[in-house]
Amino acid sequence: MKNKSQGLSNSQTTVIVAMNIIGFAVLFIPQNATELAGVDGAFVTLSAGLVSMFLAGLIVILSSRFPNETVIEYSQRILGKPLGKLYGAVIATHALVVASHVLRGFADAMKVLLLPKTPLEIIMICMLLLCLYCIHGGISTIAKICEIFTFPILSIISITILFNLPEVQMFRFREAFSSGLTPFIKGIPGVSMAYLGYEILFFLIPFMKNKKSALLSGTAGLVLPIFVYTGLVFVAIGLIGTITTSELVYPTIHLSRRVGTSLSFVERFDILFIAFWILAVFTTVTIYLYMSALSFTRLIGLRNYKPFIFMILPVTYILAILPQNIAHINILTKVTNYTGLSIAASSIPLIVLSVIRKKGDGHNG
Amino acid sequence: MARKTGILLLAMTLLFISSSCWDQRPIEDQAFIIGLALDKGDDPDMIKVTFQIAQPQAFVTEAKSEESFWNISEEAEDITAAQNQLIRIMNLTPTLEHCQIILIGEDLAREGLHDYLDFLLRTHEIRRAVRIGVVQGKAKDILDMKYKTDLMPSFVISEMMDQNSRFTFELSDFMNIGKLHTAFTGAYDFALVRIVPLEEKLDMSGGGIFKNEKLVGWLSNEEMMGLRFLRGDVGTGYLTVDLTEDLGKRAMLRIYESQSILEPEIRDNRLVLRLKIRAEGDITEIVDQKGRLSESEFLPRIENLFREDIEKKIRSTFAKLQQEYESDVFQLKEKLQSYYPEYWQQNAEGWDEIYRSARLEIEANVLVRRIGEIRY
Repeated sequence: MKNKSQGLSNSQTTVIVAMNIIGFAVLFIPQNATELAGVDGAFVTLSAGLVSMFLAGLIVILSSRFPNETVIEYSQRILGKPLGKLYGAVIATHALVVASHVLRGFADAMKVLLLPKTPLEIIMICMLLLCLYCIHGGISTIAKICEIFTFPILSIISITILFNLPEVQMFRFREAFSSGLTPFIKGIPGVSMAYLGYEILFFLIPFMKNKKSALLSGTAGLVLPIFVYTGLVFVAIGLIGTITTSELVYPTIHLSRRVGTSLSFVERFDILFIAFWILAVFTTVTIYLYMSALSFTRLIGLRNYKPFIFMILPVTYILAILPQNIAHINILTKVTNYTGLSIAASSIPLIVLSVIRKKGDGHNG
Repeated sequence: MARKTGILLLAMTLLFISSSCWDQRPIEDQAFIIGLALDKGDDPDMIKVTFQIAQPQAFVTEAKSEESFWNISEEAEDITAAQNQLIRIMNLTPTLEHCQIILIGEDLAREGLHDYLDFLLRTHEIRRAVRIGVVQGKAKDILDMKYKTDLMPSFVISEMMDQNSRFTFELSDFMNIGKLHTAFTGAYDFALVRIVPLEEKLDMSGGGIFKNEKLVGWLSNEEMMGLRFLRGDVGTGYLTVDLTEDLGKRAMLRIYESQSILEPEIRDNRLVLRLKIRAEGDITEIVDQKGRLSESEFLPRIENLFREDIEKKIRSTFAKLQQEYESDVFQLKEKLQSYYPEYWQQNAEGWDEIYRSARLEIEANVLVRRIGEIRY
């Protein structure tokens, strides 16, 4: 669906990236950060965010050299047909696996926190049907949904952070930076996996209205996740303590439970939090499924991706059902995270190759 | 036509999906457990769990003859088993979501808390801000008492802990489940507020000292005040001091603003605790006031007396905690880990020794602002 006269506005690009990143990881980012980096978790989260911002910028620069093509097409131009098709297939499969992984993680969290008796399959099918409906509308529908959802998701997370901020015990942060650079080196790769989601930028440039400001709006999409994640990790470490946070499975839910305890009319704020978090997961799954459907369509050389959505949906469901318990899910998490990071980092060799082989316009080079 | 059928079908599907039938929880079928009391069971391996369950029907009409709550005691190996045994007695599903308070009996506390509290930390139903207190006696007795002010004991106790700790120094609601979890994972000691069941009423004051998650001793009212100053969670309260002969018998100060900061410092390889206290208040009572001094002479002298009194109380609390029980319930270990990480990494095993030989330095500042409505 390429329309030259209209397209995604700048703010829409930003929110697509932001909503894609803020998804499943919101729930356990404090646990991830403190396990890898200890008390420096908050600063490591901030640095990982800046690194991801840099990588996102590289992806935009690369895509801007081919303003009318998505990554599937221009990777074939840079790497040659067979290698390019392989690269495209990797991206398509990766998006599919991430979508099913997020779906499964979401359904598991639902079972623990909210709906213990509902069968896992039903939760996943309901979510998938809704995502199908949204993808069918195209990228502009997805963009509008992301725009609408930004405000509620952001306000709920902000309330959680702000309400817990006065109770943070600052003395816990005194030993920050005391172990030198080791926490950063160990932590930044691990935590930047929570910021994955900006791979959508590989695909968005052809659909944008102002391609010249793509760099600004694309990287601005990371500002929101940086605030959200760093704030949550900071409050969790200050309130609950480093070791304890690394032992909690869903620390963010505990933070949201403390909201409203001094007022007597909101006893279970965490239910509200979960309700809005479902919106965030919905946007993430939708965007990854869209990426996957689009990639498979373009790989084969067709233009209309709508039939492909129907074909991808059962595959997503089967992949999501496969893990048997939380150990399998952790393995899947590791696999998708490393693949995602490699794909994001692969923009560097692609840029280099495209310059060397003199492919691509000089647009915004 | 096909489009209209499609929309109708979609609407009906969405209706079914959004009603979440599997997890429906009609509120009449829920048993809201509002308070938990844990004691040692009659059988040595078992614990006795007393659930206080709220009865919403009692609030509906003027039928106050019905009790608004009921207590069920179950003896079981742990809390999960006890909750399962509730199914055998009533037709309601128990839920801990609105639990207000958790009380631990003295005998169970002396044995050790760790084994029995895992369920409370692992379940998603309990909020981490639920308050927890230790009872000098059987925890069940507190839940069984009749209270005149409010209908349900759990709410009464929880509100007492929350509100009363802001008006007096003698009790504190500092500990809740979340902080207990932090204490378990980091191996810190803590102090829980103490509740004493008396004949017809309860007395909430002082605290229980826990070392290695076992109850080892009690803190009296005055010592709880000292602890709150050491820990830093001071609010408002009263201070009574004996006056010198020429001034009168006793004076009482109402402290309406106070701050205290405790900082550890390593000086000459020895742990020094620097405590800075600031308290402001008005004089509310002077018993048998003798002299007719002007305010400018009177106030500094009485400020001095109050200051010495606070310092004395804090030092005696500290000595008791340090020498007699050897437990640090005021987050000292946590602070030391944060302030001096390298020192901690080198000397972690010798913590008991370090704590025993620590010194306390107090810098107190008591300001008396007003003396009430009468001058002499």
